[in-house]
Formats: sequence, C-alpha cells, structure tokens
Amino acid sequence: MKKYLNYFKIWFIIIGILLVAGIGCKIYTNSLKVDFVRKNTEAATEERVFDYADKMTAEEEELLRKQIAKAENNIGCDIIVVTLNETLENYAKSYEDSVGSVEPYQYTMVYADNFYDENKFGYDQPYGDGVLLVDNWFREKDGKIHSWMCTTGRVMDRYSSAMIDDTLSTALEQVDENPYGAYSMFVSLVESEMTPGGLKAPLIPGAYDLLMAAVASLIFYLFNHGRKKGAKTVSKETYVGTGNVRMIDRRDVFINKTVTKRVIQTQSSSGGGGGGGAHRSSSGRSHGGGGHSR
Amino acid sequence: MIFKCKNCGGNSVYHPEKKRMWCPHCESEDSEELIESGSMENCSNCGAPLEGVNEHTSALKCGHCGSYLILKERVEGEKRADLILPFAITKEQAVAKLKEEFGRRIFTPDTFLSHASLQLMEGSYVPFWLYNYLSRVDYEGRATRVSVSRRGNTEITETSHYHVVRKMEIPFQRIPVDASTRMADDVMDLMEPYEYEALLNFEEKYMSGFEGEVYNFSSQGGEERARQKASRDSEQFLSSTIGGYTTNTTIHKNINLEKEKSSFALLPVWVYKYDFQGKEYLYHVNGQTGKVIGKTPTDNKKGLLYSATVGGLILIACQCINWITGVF
Repeated sequence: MKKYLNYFKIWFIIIGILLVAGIGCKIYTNSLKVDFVRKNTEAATEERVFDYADKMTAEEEELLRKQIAKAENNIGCDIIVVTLNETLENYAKSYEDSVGSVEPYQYTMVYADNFYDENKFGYDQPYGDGVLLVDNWFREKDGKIHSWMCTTGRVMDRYSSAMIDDTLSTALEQVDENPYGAYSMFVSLVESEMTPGGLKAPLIPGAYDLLMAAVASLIFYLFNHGRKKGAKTVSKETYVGTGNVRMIDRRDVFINKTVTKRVIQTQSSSGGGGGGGAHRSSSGRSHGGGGHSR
Repeated sequence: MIFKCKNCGGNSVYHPEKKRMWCPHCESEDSEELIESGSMENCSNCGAPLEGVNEHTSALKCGHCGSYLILKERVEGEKRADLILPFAITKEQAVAKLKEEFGRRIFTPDTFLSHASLQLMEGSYVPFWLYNYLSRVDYEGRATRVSVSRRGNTEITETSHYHVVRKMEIPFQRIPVDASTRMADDVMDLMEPYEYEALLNFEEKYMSGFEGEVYNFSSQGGEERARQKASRDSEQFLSSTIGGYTTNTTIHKNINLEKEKSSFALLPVWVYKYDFQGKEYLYHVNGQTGKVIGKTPTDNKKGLLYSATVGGLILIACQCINWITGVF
C-alpha cells in the first residue's frame, strides 16, 4: 500500500488540484443559472413548431417541441420554428406601404415579423424576448430558397448580423438532407448562445472520457506488463577490426540516362454567402434578423 | 581441485574487482594454493557427495560446505579451454545492474529482486566457440538514380542507370557461438558483445568462485550459426557500400566463407533464477559489461489495481476539465 501511494503521489496531487479547480468552476457555473418565469399570458398559441411544408415526421415534430420547451426554460426566450412551401411574393409586397420595398430575400422577413407579432410571442411579455425561424422551401423568382431568423428583445440585443449569418449557415447546412436535424441544431445554437454565462459543450464529450480512461489503463498495463530487456548491440563491425575490410574492386559505371515528362493538371473552385439587420415590422415593432439563401 | 588460502585454509576465489585471488574468510590476497586432490563424486573440501554434476560440468559450488570446486578432468587435455575472459563485475554489481533495469517495474511481485532471492544468483563460465573466417564478397548489379524536377506545369523525371561492381575481403575475428545446450542461443546472442581485449590464456584460478562448463558439442557443431552471423554481417558490409541509389537489382552475388581458426573460450555470465507462480524466470548479466537480458514477471493483481487507478484518475481529470472549460 505504501508503494502504491508513493507511486501515485504526484498523480494524486495533480488530480487533487484539478478536482478543487473543477468543483470551484462547477459551483460558479451553477451560481449563474437563472430561474426564468414566463410572464407573457397573452400569446395566441403555445405551439412552437409550425411545419406547414411538412418536412418533419410527427415524431420529429414532437422531439423538437420537447427540445424547445426545455431550451425556453433555460434561456427565458421563446423559440419558434416555421416551415413553408409557398411563394411569399404577393404577401410581402402587400406590406410594402409599411415596410418599404422588399427584395425576394426579405419576403420571409416580412412573414416572420408578422407571424411573431400576430401571435404575440415573447417570453417576458407580448412581442418580447424570442426568436423565430422561417424556412420557406419554395424557390422564389430569384431561383433561391430563403430563410429568416427573426430576433426580438434580449435575443435581438444579443445577436449581431454576423452571428445570425453564422447561426443560419451552420444550422441549415444539412437541411435538405435532414430538416429535423437542422432545426434541432438551430434550437441548440440559440440555447447555447443565450444561456447566462454561456452554455459550452463539454471539451471531452459523452463517452469519450470513458474511452480515454479505458485506453489509458490499457496502455499503462501493456507498457508496464512484463517486458523483455535486452536488445541486440552488435553491429557488422563488431568482429571485424576497423579498416580491416579490403576493397578489391569498386566500380559504379554510368550506362545511360532516360527522361520522361508529364503535364500536371490544375483545378480551381469558388463560393458565396448572405446578410441582414435591425428593422421595423409592418405593425411598427422592432425586430432584428437576418436571412439565408440556398 | 580447490584453491585454498595458505593463511587460513579457507576457499580462495577470484575477485572480479580486485582482479586477483582473494580469501573471503581472512581477506588475504594472492594467498591461494591449488589442491589438486579430489574426485568428480565428492567435495575436495568437506568430502560430501557432489550434486548437480553432469557430463559437461567443469566447476561448481559444493551444496554442503559452499566451497567452489574445479573438476580436474574437465580442464585438462582437449577439454581445456584455450582462452578465458575473467569476470569483471562482482555479484553485488550484477545485482545493482538488475535493480537498475528492473527496479522500477511496478507490476513485479514483492519478492522479485528481494535480498533473499538475489542470494541465489550465481556466476557461470559459459563455453563458447570463437571462429575466424575470411569472407570473400563478389557482387555485380544494376542500379538507378532517379531525380524529379518541375518546369512550369511539366514534371520531368530523369533516371540514370549504373553498372555496380564490388569485390571485397572481410576478415572476421572471433565470432562467438555458445557451446552450452542449457543456455538459450538467443539469450547468449544478446549477451554480445564481449570486449575481447581482456581475453587471457586459460588458468584454473579464474574459475574459482564460479560455476563452469566445458563445450557441449565440437567446434563443427557450432559452425552453422557462426557462418550465419558472418554471412549476415558480410551482407551488411556489402549494402553499406552500395548507397545513394533509388533502385538496385542484383545480377550476381557470392559470399564465400573460408574458416581459418576456431578457439574454445569461457565467457562470464551472472545467472539469476526467480520462480513465480510455478514459472521460472531467468535473468542473465554479462559478467564483463553488465548488459542485462530478461523479462520481468507480472503480478496481475498489482497490474489491475494500478491500471484501474490510472483509468479512474483519467476519468476524474476529464470531468474536472469539462467543469473548468465550461467557465473559461
């Protein structure tokens, strides 16, 4: 036992220091948690997932609802996801008197702002803290599919245009192949960004810590398991005195040279992105937001 | 036969560090006297029956009185060694070497390298045949040297072809092959090299204090292994002279080994036997250079406890790192 404790002395000290620091950080993180209480009782609906384009199965919609409910409690903001599959050109242009001239990428903005306001979303109050994603699968006349992230209240304060752009690009990267996965990631990204003190994904996630521990144990065992000692330490010179090798004939005769040539092929590639900002909706309420096209 | 101290009558032995005969009883130096009487059956000192004498034994320790005996019939005539390399490191130094190599192995049983176990370590002169060969190497081959360059978007490969000829003579001196069937060949090969500068003409006094054997087979019996070693080294010499080529194809290669001489020599090895869970572990220490050969035994309970501790500590560390990086 004494030998064991002596061997792991340094390990125990290092882990002890880590443990103290880790527990301290955990206590600090817990102290930042806020118990949000919903104060908005005027919202027109409690529904959060409006899959009008029918891109998700019923099970996926239910999973997304549960994820949103949990995230809303953690961050004190409403999160709404809307999918559409229809042109919004006439709809958006009908509001040009109040919001000004609109381009195809802004059709979803008009829809999102109105949807948010009409349903009086907002966690703390009607038209209050929240975020709404509209993903319209219809290809407008500009040939693109447009999405819009509408931010209000604290979410609007938090998100810059660049952050909105990043969030939409990341979340919607695989939306064509996996719509549910994309919307779920959108919710996760918003939750992570809006969590007080920051919600960071663990550096060593899930079962990786167990895997690392198992691998380290195995390596340690194999490394210390009965090993052979003794390597070959003779060389070709060991039994021949230095300089005793007699070279009788040594020739390297050049015969000829052959040359081959090959043309090297080269390739090039290119890419692009989008943007958005703060504005007022048709009802005159302030929203932030940004769009994404694909 | 036995070497006795003229001063006290004790058993004089060869002392590796002092490099002279020494009496461990009265600590006299060079006070030895060779007593040639005795037989193969009984101890020359106490008369007790000798155990462990086989057809090859030439020196041994009496199990009764602890005296070191040399069997006269095994050090005379054709069984007499030509050369001997006396022990240069003492038992204490050999033990220190073992502890240096294996002392930090944490899975070893507690009794491994304990004082009581190490007392059983014995020095032994192992019979070796030393062969001299003249190796004649004759080689002819084709080789290429390839260089690749780039001009604009064109890659140019230039291949130069050569005719390669090598003829050389390599005089191998004293390639050792152990002539003991009880010593594993691979272990004895790993004991190499010995520093031959310290080789001396055989004298019985160097054997006093150690065990010993005569060769178990004739010089011809060890030739195959000696030739293998000489051929391998000849190949390496040849390869070392054909460098700098990208490819190399042999047209003709001949390595001819001409045996010039063989000698019978006794080379020193410290041997430590350790029994653990019914298995015998053998450790060899070169009696001249201190090179150690062996494999440590593993106490599995210890191994599992230590490995599980490492795993547990890593797990705790991962959790702590997650908590810490959750803040920063």
